[in-house]
Amino acid sequence: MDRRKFFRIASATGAGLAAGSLVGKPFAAAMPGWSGQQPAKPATNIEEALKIPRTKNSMPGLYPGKVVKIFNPDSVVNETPVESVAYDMLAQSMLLLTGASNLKKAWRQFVGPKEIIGLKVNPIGGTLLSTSHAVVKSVIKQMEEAGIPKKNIVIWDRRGLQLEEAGFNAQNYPGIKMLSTEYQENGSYYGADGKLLSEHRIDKDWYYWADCEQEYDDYTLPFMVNGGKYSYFSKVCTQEVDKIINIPIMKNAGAAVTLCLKNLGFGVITNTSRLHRDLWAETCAQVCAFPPIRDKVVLHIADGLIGCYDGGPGANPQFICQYNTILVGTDPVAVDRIGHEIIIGRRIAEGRQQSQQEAAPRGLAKLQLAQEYGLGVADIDKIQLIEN
Amino acid sequence: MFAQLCSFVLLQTILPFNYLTPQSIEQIEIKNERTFEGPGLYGFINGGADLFLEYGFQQLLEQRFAYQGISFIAEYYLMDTQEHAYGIYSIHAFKCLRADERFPVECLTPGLLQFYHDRLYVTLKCLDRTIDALPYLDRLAAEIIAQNPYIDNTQMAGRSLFPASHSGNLYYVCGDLGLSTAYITWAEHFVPFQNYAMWLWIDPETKQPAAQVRFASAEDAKAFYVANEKHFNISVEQDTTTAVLLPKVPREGRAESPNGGT
Repeated sequence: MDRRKFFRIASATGAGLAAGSLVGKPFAAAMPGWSGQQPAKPATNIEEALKIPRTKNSMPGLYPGKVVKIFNPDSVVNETPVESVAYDMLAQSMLLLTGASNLKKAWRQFVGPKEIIGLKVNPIGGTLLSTSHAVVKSVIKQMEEAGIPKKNIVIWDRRGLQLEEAGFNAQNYPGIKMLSTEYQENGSYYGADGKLLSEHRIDKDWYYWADCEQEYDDYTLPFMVNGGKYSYFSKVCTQEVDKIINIPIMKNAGAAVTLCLKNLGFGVITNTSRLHRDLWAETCAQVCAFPPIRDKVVLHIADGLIGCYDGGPGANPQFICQYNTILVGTDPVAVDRIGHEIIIGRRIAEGRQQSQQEAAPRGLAKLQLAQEYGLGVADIDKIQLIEN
Repeated sequence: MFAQLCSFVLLQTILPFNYLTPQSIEQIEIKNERTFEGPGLYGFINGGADLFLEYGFQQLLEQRFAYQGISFIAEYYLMDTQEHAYGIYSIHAFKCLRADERFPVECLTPGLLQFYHDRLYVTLKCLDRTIDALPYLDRLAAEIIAQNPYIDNTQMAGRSLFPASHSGNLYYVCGDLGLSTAYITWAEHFVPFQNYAMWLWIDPETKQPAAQVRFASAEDAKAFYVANEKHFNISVEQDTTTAVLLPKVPREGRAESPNGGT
């Protein structure tokens, strides 16, 4: 077929299809042999989670539907986030969110000096596209100023190696404990007892079950705790911390965004590879409905100083951009909804898609689900957005 | 030294392509090498692996190294076919500052050179974003290409339908994730269909799309026609599995455009 022929478009009626015989029949019935028989979504144990009574700390927390958005063009210089500017942006956010008269009072609405506080960061983009040190150090500094001792602060994520690669280590954070679910010691993922170290970091009392499974080979994924149909919650969230502050980075995943819900949904449990294809939106929302997350995550700080508008969640340099923005709220669904507008807006500006409406059902699916589970507000008309 | 030698021998045994080594290019110091196979890619890029698996990902070698004292990361993605290697390259090639000039299929953006070669999709990243990395990236890419003879198995015929310089404009799509990335405007129309192969051209001047789609079966082609004839001008080839698509121009205005607003 030559190029000229390729671009010659026949009229629909002359295309040689016997379409007439199909008119008026139900679509699927008219198409024996058609590949598009979509399988039903795999079942999960979300109903069990929803039966567990909520607490006063349950999502969406103290300020449902309220999001503070702070923009500062000076927050990134020479492609590096500026800590002093991030500190000011965070301080402004906290005061606007809480209405408190000073920063100490603002922070003490969420955390106390006797509590162990986990900062759930996102380090999977390495040095190029991970939660910025400017924001994380600002959070730590403000918590210390609010009376939270350093020894009570933990930085954590799923994989220790990724934390280290992104610079979350003792050298950059003296006095702060680093924890992960999947990790190695002395170059090995196995302890002296012959067991995978990660075995000691998972809590088998808390699990997300889904009727789909995958197995992993030890050669390429030596740190994977388990395959099968169960994803266990990390002990970091179920046992080792009292409160969690969620600090994702503003990234896309196709026409959806990976912010608060995704950072938790896929970051606090094991055996997630099986969940990406058929249960991506469900996992983001449903894992957050389990008490270790729902009742402990008291604040969400979406780091948008640097982010990406395409190629996410990986770090593809051609899609990395500066949003010069942080979003703060206790309602992860509302924060994600505002973040969605920002990231999709950038995708439109860059020519990656045409409009906010385009592919919106796909992009907003996890937010709608999370709203159904009572985790927050997905309807943008019902979100109170406060901007500087 | 012995450990390095063992590592080198092990990688050469496992990986069916050649990559940068101190033996192949001077002034290179390998800092770290990692390989991932099949679904093991989740261990490298988590959810981002889905897209690569949709394109038949087989193996990845990630190399972190210093070249002439500057830090780089090279990633070699081995795919199952040339089409898939081109496909995964094509949806990452975007707003190229230089396209298909120095190498046959390449896209240069600041600090990053990506190229397709045979069954490989290769990215070369410079970690120092303050320098002009281009001369180094070119030298490294030339070395990789020189070491890997190209074997044309003729599966790339579809690409020849389009203009010679195509990086950033010509996509090869074989599933939902790829189409969502390449041209999301059409994604919903293809959700019910599986195992199709699409050459999608976005005209750089008009931003208008055109595509050749090879469906999995004649039934799929017919089903697509019935469901979408109001959205597209559709021409179906004689074998009835291949269709040519153009968007219909809305009655009141212009055609769908990737840069247009609605």
